[in-house]
Amino acid sequence: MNNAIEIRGLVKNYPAFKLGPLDLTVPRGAIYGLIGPNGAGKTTAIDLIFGMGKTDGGEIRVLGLNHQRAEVQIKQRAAYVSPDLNFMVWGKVGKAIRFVRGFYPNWDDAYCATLMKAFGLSDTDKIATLSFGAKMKLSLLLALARRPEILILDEPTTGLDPVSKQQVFAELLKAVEDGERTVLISSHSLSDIERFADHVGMIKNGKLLLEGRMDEVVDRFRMAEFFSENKTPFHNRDGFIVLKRNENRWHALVDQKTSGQDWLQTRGAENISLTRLTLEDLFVALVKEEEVK
Amino acid sequence: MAPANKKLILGPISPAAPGTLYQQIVDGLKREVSEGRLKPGASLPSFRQLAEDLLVSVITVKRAYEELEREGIIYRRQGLGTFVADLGHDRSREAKLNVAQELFREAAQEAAEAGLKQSEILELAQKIIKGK
Amino acid sequence: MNRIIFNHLKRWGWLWIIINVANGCLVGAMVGNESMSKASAVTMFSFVMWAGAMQLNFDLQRGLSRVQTTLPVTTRQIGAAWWIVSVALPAILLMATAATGMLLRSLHTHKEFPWENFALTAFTSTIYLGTMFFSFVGLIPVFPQNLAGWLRYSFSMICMFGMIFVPPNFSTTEGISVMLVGVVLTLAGWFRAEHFVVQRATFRPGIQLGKRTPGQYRAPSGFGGMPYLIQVLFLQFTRFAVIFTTMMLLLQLFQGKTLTFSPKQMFEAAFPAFSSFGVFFIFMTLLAPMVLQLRQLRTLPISASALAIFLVLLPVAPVLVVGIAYQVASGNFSMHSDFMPFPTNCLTFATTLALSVPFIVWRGLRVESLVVSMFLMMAPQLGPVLFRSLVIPHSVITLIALACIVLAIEITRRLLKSSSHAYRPPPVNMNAWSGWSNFSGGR
Repeated sequence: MNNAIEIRGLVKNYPAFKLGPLDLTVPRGAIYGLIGPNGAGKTTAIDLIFGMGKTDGGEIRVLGLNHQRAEVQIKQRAAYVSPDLNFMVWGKVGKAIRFVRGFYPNWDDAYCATLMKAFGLSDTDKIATLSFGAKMKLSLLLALARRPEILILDEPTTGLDPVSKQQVFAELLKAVEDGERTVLISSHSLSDIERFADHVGMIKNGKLLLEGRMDEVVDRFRMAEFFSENKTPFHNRDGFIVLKRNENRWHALVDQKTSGQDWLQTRGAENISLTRLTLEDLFVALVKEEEVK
Repeated sequence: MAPANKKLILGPISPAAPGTLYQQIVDGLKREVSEGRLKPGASLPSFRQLAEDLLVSVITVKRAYEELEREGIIYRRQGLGTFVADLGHDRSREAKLNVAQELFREAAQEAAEAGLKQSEILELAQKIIKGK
Repeated sequence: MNRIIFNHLKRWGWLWIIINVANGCLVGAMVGNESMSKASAVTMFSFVMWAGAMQLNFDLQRGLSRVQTTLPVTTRQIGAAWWIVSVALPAILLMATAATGMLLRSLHTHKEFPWENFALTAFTSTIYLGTMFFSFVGLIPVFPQNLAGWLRYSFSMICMFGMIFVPPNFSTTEGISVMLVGVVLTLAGWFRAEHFVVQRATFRPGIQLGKRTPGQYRAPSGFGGMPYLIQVLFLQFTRFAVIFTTMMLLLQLFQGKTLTFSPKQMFEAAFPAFSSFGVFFIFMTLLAPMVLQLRQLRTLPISASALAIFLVLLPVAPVLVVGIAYQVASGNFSMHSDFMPFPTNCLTFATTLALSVPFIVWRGLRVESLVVSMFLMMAPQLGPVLFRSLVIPHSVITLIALACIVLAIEITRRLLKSSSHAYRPPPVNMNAWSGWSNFSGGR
C-alpha cells in the first residue's frame, strides 16, 4: 500500500453541480495540496471521504479500505480538520478535548499539552469567546493529538494570521516526519501550499486538471513571451494557453512537455523568453483559461 | 549508527531570495561544506527533519539532497543516514567554480551585447572585485 | 425604514401566513368561546413566538444587524423598524385572524360574537409579542459573566417565559397584573429598540468576555467519548429539570398553595416541562447541541446507525423515563392535567419528539425544521380536541409509538448516510441568542 488515499471515478450529482468523475491519488507519507477555485468541489470530495453524503459512483479507498464498508475503521485512523467544525456546544476547551480524546486509544496526552501551550489554548478557555483562528487551532489540536495516520484538512488556514499559519504548517511537517503519516490539505493560500506540500492536485468544476509532484508540476509549465509575424494566430490547445496578446506580441502559458520552445519556434515565434511560474501564477492561468472556454 | 548531527543551520531560505527553494538549499549546503563548517563524514539530518527545520516541503529537501548526491558532495547509506563525502569539500569547491565560470560567461556576454570591449570588461571586473 | 419593513415582509411573509392561518383555525376552534386557560395561553405563546421577535433573532444569527447598520438610515429608524415588524404588524395580523376565526365560529354556532374573549385574545397576543421583543434585548448572545449580567439575563428569561404560567385575565388580580406588566414591557421594548440595534451590531463575544486565564495548559484526563457526552447532557438536563421544578413550586407558593413536596406535587410542578412547549425545550437543550456539531460527530469513529439511535433516543429517553417514573409513583394518586392522562401524554410526546429528529437532521437548525417540529409537538394536544369521541386503547398507542420511534431511527440513519445537507455548517451565530445550544456545558 503506497497510497494513503485513492479516489477512482468518484461522482456526486447535485442539482446545480456535478463532481467528477474524479481520480485522486494521495501517496503515503506526503503532504498533498488540493487546490481549486471556489466551488470546484474540494469540500464535497473531502466530505465524501468521511461519508458525509452518498457517492453516486466510483470508489474511495483510504489506507486500502473501502470508505463505506470500513467507515468506522477509517474514521479511527483518519482525522478531519475544518473551520466548519463546531465545538461551541462543549463550552470549554478542556471539555471538548476530553470528549474527543475518549475515542482514540492512541491519544497522546503529552503532545496534547505541548500543542495547547504552542497554540495558546487553555483548558478553561471558553470556546464561544475564542477568535476564529483559535477555534481553528483547537480543531487542529484535536486532530493532531490523536496521532492519526491520515490528516485531512479543509481550508485550515482561512482567517489565520501569518504567524499562526506558519505554526500550522510547522506542525504538519512534524506530523509527517516519520514518513508514515499523510496529510491532505485543501487551501487557497497557494504560496504556502507550494512551499510545504510535496504533491499537488488541482481541480476545477469537479474535475482534476492536473496532479503530481509539486516540483514537477511547477517545473513543467512556463510563462512564454514571444513575437510572431505569423499570419495564422496562435490558438489555445492542450498545453498552450494564450494569456495576453498585443498585436504581434504574445503572452502564453506553455506546457514544456507538449508546447515548449521547440514547438513555438516551429510555429514561427521569435525572441522567445520563458519564465518560471509560481503555483499561484499557474493556478490563475489555468483557471482563467477554463473560464474563457 | 552515526551520532546525530547537531542542528544544521543554513542561511535563510526564502521565496524572496533568488533561485528556487531547492536551489537555495543546495547552495546553502554547498557553502557549509566548502567553508568547512560541515566536515567530511559529518552526518546530515534526514530530509524530513531538515524540511521541518527549514519549513519547506519534504520533496524540496529530498530533491536538494538528490542533487548534492549526484554531484558527489554527499552520500547516503541505507539505514544509516546521509553524510558529507570525503571529497565533498573539493567537489563543492569544484561545483562552485563551475557556477562562477558560468556566471562570468553570462556576464561577459551581457557586457559584450552592451557594446563593451574586452579591455573594458576586464576593467569592470576588476572594479567589482576591488569594490567588494 | 419602510424598506427594512418591506424586506422583512418579503422574507418572512410565508411564516406569517402559516401562523395566521393556524391561529385563525385554533382560536376559532379552541379559544373562541372559552376564557383564556393555561392550555390556550401556551398555544398562543407558541404562535406568537414564531410570528414575532424570533424571526428577528434568526435574522440576527445571520448577521442582519451588521448589514443594516451600514445602510443610510439612523439607528433609531432601524430600531423602530424592528419593533414594527416584531410587535406591531404581527399583533395586527393575529388580531385580524383571531377575529375572523371567532366570527366564523359564531356564525356557525349562531351565537353572538364573543367580544370579551376577542379583546382578551388580542390583548394577550400583543403583550406576548411585546414582551418577547423586550426580552430579546436582554438576551445577549453569550452567557453572562458577572452578577449584574446574570440578573439582567435571568430577568429577560423570566419575562420571556414567565408569562405562559399566568394567563392574562380581566377578572382576577393576577391576570390583570400580568397584563399591566405586559403593557409596560411592550412599551419599554419600543424605547429599548435603538439600544438593541447598537448592542447587536457591535457585539463581539471575545470582547464581551476578554478575561482569559493563561498558563493552564493541562491536558484533560478522565473518561471521554460518548459516555462523557451522555454524562454532560444528563447533568445539564437534570439542572434544567431542577431549576424548572423549583420555579414552578415557587410559583405555586406565590399562588398561595402550601408546599408538601409529595410526589404528586412534584410531578405537577414538573408537568409543564412535558407539555408541548416544554418538550420543545427538551428538544432544544438536548438535540440542538448535537445537530450543531453533527459534522464533527460524523468524523468521529461512530457508525451512522449508532449515531442515529443516539440522536433519536436523546430527547425521547428523558420523556419516557419521566412517564415510567410517574406510572410507578402514581399507584396512590391520579393526576388530572389540562391535556390528557399523563403516561399516554408522555408516550405521544416522545413519539413526536422522535419523529421530528429526522427533520432536524435533514434540514439542520433552520426555521423551517423548527416550525415543523413545533407543529409536530403540538399534534398530540390537538388530537383529543379534534377527535373527542375517538377512544384508542392504550396498547395500540404504545405500539404505534414504538413503531414511530423505530421508523425515526431508520430515517435518521439513512439521512446521516445519504444527505450532505445535514452537514452544511449552521449559520454562524453572530449576534443572536440561540437558547441553550451555544452555552450548554459552558459552566
